[in-house]
Amino acid sequence: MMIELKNIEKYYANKGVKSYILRHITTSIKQGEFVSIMGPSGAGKSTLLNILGMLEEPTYGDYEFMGENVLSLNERKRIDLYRSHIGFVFQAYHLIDEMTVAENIEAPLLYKKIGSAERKSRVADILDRFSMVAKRDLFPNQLSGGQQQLVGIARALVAQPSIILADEPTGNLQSVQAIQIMELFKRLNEEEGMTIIQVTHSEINAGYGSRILHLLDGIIKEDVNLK
Amino acid sequence: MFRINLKIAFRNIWKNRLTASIKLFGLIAGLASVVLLVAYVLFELSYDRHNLNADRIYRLHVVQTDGENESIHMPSGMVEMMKQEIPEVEEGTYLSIYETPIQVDRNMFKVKILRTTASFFDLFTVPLKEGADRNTVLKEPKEALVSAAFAKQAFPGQSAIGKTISLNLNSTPYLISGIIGDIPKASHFHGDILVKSNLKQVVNWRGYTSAPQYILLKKGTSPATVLAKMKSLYKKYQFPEKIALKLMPLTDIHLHSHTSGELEPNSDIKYIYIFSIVASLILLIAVVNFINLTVAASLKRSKEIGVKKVLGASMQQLKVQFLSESYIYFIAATFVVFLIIMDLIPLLGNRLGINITFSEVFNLKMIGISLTIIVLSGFIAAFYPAMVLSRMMPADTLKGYTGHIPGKGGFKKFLVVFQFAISALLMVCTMVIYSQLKYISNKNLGFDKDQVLVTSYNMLDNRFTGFKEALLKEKGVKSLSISTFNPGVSYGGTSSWTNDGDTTKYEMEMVYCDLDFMKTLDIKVLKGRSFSEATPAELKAFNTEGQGLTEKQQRELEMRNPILLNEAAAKSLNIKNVDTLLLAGGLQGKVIGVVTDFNGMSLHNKVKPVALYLQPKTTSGYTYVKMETDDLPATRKTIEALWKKHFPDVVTEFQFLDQYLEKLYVSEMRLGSIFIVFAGMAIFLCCIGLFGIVYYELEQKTKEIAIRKVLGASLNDLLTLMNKNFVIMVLIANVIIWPIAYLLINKWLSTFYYRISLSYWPFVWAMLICLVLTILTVSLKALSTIKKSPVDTLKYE
Repeated sequence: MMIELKNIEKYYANKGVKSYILRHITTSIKQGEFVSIMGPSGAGKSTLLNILGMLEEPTYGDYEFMGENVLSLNERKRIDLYRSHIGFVFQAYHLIDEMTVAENIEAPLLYKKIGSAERKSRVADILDRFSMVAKRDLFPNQLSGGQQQLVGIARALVAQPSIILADEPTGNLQSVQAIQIMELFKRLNEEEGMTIIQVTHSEINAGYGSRILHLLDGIIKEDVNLK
Repeated sequence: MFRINLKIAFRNIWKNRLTASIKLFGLIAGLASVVLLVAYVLFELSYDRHNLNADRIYRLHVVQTDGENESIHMPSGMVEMMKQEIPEVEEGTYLSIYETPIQVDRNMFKVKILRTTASFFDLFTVPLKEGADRNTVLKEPKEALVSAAFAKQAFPGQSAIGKTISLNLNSTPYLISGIIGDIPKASHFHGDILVKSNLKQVVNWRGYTSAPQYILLKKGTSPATVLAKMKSLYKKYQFPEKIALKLMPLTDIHLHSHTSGELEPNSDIKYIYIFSIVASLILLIAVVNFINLTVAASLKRSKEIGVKKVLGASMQQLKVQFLSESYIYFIAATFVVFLIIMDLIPLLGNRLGINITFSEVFNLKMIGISLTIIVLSGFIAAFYPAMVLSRMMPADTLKGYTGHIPGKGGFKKFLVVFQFAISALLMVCTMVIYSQLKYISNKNLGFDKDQVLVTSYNMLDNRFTGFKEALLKEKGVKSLSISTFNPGVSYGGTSSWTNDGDTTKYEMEMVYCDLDFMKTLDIKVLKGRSFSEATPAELKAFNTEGQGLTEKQQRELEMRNPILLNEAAAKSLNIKNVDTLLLAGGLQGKVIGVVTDFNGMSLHNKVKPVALYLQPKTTSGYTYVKMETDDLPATRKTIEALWKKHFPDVVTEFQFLDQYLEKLYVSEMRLGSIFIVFAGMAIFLCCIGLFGIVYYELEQKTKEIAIRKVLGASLNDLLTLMNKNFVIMVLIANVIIWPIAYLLINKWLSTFYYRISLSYWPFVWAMLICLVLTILTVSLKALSTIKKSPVDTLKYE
């Protein structure tokens, strides 16, 4: 099992009143699944994704990632685990404005302390695969939204993660570009067996995946298997 | 990794050129001030340390065991006596130094003549460069050693050795036998010409010499041992009661000795502390500025930080990135500082009235200390932002500008308050120092110091009458007088006595002057008559030449010589009526009037009782010329020309009395100069820092401002909104420093007997200046944001 969540809770205590974001989340995700998390605004989708991505900690509960108890790990080990397994894709792309396309893609490899030669070849590879070689020295603000998101995905993939976490990856894109991105995810999932978890509002996008978790007021209301 | 970080750092700096240059400029200004003050403080601390035996050399002081008086005036021969009696005393010498103009080949030079003994070279490290032999030097009475600088000036292009110079009129000229290296600036004495002294070497407490005496102790001897042995010698050498010897370490003289007879004006360790504190405060402001600007800038970079964390950057890696970014600034600033400091040091020296060049303060120690300070402050300035920034949570920061400002709360406010507190403190101090200096220069001293020229001390002869007559005929010359009064230094003489059957000790300063003294210096007579109104009978004693009077008759006449007292003297002697005969100790004559308490000495001290003695025929002393003219320089030239005509063989120097008196307050004026520069620097840095903070705050509040505008807020409302917090912080900063400033400045003022009363105005002014500058800075920056159309701003949100 890749991901095991047991009784995850997240709340903010404000003047003694707890406001819950997530309640009693218990589920597991296998290697090779393409999961879409759906639900209305404020249902806790992004928070759940952030917890899965180790960007946030739950207030309570157990989280096992590939057999490791994430919450009991120290900062360094968690970063190691994170670096080698998780790639993140954002709705707002979140490219670093001061870096060129190639540098943005290279950044995670730097943090993984991968040698210069290998970095260059991996970046070249992925640029080639995404047909963006010509854009390698442009800065993010010189690209269209769809292109920026492609760079975002390339950046997530370059470190060869076992799982991609995507927070509304097509939310800022026009429909044609959105379809391209979803097709790309589907190919990655089916051809390379990449595990993908995405947060989305769109039934169409969710249709590309293999499983849907419906969230409402922090609780999993429905767990639908599409296959 | 490092390369890409560096690259990003530079791209970031370029992208935020304005704030980056503010940051860099502030840092340069701050660090330059600090390095400058470090250089100056080290210079002051290096006094006399160039002497190889510095740690074994002591100057002899005498102290009153029951009082505070400390003096370097004592009988001559003390050194010889100690050498004989105390085996631990290896060598000794004394320095008698006076400044005088001399003439070499029709050229005039103002030189310092240093009379000393051959042992001078055993104590002080002054290299013999040419000529003279170490073993025979200063053995001949008419032998002179000149400094290399003087030799070059006086005998350009030729060797000075073998030439002769005359130091006094009508006396045998001195033969130059050698050339000595120049004495470093950081020495408590200087001399251009060294000649052998002929001071008597016997301890006799009836006569004092003003030449300070120095001893060199044998290696490993503590001064306490010597003092202990001295105790048993007090009786043998008839030391007056309650007088003890004190050994002042050579290297302490410049900063710790404050006797009245110092060879050159000394500095004070107090000022070294003050300057060090000012330097630390400026450094603190610069560091705080840097922190403020860096943290404020981080708002813009929260996304970058979040993304990097998501990409797998550890806190450590981010810290390294931000540290290295900060270091880029520090390294750049350090380079610039060391480039400009070469020009700044002479500039500072100029302000302080000391002539120092870069090479004189530039040494390994100075570089070492400066660099250490820079590296340490750089570490602090870089570390805090790095810590704050790397701690930001990615999930928070990725949501964009959600109002999460690192250090928004207490700490940032504290830093701003702290900066303004320092600025306000320095401003209050500066204003009080300057008001006191202004008070000093405007204070009615009881005599008129404007448009008065004063000469150096001269012993003239009967040609003086001719000179006086010729001078008074000149247009613009009002009056002329000669007297023993040397403003700020001495009245001429002191007399102290105890009356029979009266235990009160009287002390009286004595001025010996001619008839026109009151008129020339415009000293008001409060009661009775001035000297010029003395009756012929009262002046009779001065006109008895050739009348064959016996000594007794002459003495009787002299006891009726006219005397004027100042108010303090009249009070101390309890004299209510003029025209009374006075027979008190050294004070014998007829009091014909009481004059105002004219204040001829430093305003640090209270006016002493002064008696003025008439000597209508005197031709020795300081000549005063009162002018009344619109063209002072021209009149001064005429006077100098007349002097040359009448006394071709007597060189003298004319100085304006007001400027002459200003020299009494050299260290206070230095303090003022330093404060005004660095208080200005502090407030300037504060404003720069504020500008940066406001810049980023506005960027964050763009949306808020737009919304408020849509809701109908006016320009004024928005400016008030932006200014409110800063104004409150500035007010707090000012109020906090009030008690501190009050205590400090009162302490400083209390060193003056005559001083301004501390008013609330400096405090009010400092606060107003802070407020105006703050509001200006904030509003200037805010206006551009406020003027933006809310449509543009809100569109992107």
